Amino acid sequence: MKGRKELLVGSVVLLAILTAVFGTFWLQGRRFGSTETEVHVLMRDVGQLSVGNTVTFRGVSIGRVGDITVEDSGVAVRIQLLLDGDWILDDDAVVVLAPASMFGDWQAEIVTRSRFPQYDYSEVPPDVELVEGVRVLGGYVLPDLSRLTAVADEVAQNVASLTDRFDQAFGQETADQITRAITNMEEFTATLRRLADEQSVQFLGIADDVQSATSEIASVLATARGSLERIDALLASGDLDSILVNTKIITAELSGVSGDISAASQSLSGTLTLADSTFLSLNRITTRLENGEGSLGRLISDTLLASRVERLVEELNLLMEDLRANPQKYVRLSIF
Amino acid sequence: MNGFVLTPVEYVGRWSINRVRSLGKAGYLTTGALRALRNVEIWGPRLLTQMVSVGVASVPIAVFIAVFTGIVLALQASYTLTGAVPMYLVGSMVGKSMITELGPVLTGLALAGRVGASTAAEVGTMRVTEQIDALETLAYDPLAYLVVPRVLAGVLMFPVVIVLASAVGVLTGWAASLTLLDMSSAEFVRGLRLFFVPFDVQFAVIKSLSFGLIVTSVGCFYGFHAKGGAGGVGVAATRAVVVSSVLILVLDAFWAVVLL
Repeated sequence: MKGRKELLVGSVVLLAILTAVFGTFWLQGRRFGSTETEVHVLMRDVGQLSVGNTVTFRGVSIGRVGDITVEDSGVAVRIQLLLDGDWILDDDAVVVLAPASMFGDWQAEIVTRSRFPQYDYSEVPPDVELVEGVRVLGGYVLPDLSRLTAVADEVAQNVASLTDRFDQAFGQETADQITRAITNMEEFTATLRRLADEQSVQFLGIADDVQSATSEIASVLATARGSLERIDALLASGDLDSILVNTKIITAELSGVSGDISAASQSLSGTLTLADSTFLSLNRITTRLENGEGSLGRLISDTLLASRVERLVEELNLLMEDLRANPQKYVRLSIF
Repeated sequence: MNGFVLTPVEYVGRWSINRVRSLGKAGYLTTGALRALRNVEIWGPRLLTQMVSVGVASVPIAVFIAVFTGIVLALQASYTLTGAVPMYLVGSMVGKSMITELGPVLTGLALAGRVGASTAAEVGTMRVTEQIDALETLAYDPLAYLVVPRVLAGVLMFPVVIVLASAVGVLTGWAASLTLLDMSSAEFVRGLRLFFVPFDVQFAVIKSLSFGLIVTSVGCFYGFHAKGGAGGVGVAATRAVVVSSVLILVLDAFWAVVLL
């Protein structure tokens, strides 16, 4: 009887213990007898992720969140992911934490950075504490529904405020003002149209002028083109080279002439100085002559003397004529 | 002032004195029971019998309650959630409710009626028939003989019964979801696992331990202090059930505040 009671109690107790233990493991999603890959994730925060949440890869559940602890430094949170089976993750693998549905359950999704490059992933610091055989990933937390709801609420409030202001602003008076504004706008448009017509006529004239100017410019350009072509031909023929050579020679000659001129100028300067002194002497002589000084002065100023000289000259002329006519009269030439 | 009519002040005074006296008796009983734990040779042989009486014999009624609780929970959750949220949340509601709340509390209340009443009645009968006095006369510690094995059995077996009842409740809720709600097993299991954390089970076990302690202690207390004849035993049993039930609800709230 006692043995039966013990068996009964033992069976019930064991059954309850097994139910509690295996039920807990099963509800946690653990698979008995299979290997697990442990991966750690360092994040700035984890949103509403909790222990036991699902880990997904390409949308498939491959594990669960084993543990969430704040790092000793307090600047990061370490998440332990327990993946069912052996997993080798890509080098650029990261973890995105996001709501799994609209009802508060979250999930950790293993992705590559290239899939969501716009996210500001938290990086793994180089001095992070590593566990042997456990890879540490960075990640990103998507805003949860409450944050989005808060933003949407703020937007809704802004829209409501805007609507209220619009209602207040858009009264009957505003409508009348808008009507008047529209009427004014119509008048303004008609005026603008007239002005545009006038301007278009003027514009046509301007366009003609521009056209003629363009034609002239074209002809000038044609002439210029011809000139350029001739210059080009000239350049091509080599005449310009000879001209330049000649010009060079002429320039050298001119340079020599300039030197001669310069020397001549210097000589002329001396000559002028000499002439100046000559003129001064001549001036003195003239003055003395006018004053009747000297023989010549007396000759000039003394009329009697002049007439005597004149008569002397005449007599000399007669003498010379007589000498030419009768040389033996004056000159006797004998050898012996 | 005659003895039949009390003024309000006298009534309050008498009530207060009785409460304090009851607290004193409870303290005396608790102290005596703790002291009686030394007498293993007295309560040890009776522990197994009490575990069968308190635990194993309570499993059927607990499972019976859990079966219908699980079914009703699934149907209620479906009725509440239809058209608003995904049906897999039925699994979440059934699992969370059965493991953390309804399993322990409903089973505790059921066991308060069954175990609390039987304990108070047994001990009360021994009291009014002076069997406890006889034990004392024989130098037998009545606390070690009557109270300790019952309280220990309650503390040990309540969690066992409640774990089994909760598991059965979840299973019947699952079955009801498959058969009555046109849900798939994958949906139900997804919801069941969605918000489950191991602490849920720990929370249920902690509550179960306290419920077992309270139900058996209260039953022993009222039985130990039963007066009169069969009527006194009945009053003791009734009070034991009522007070146990109230204390279960109070403890439930207490643990929710403290642990959640």
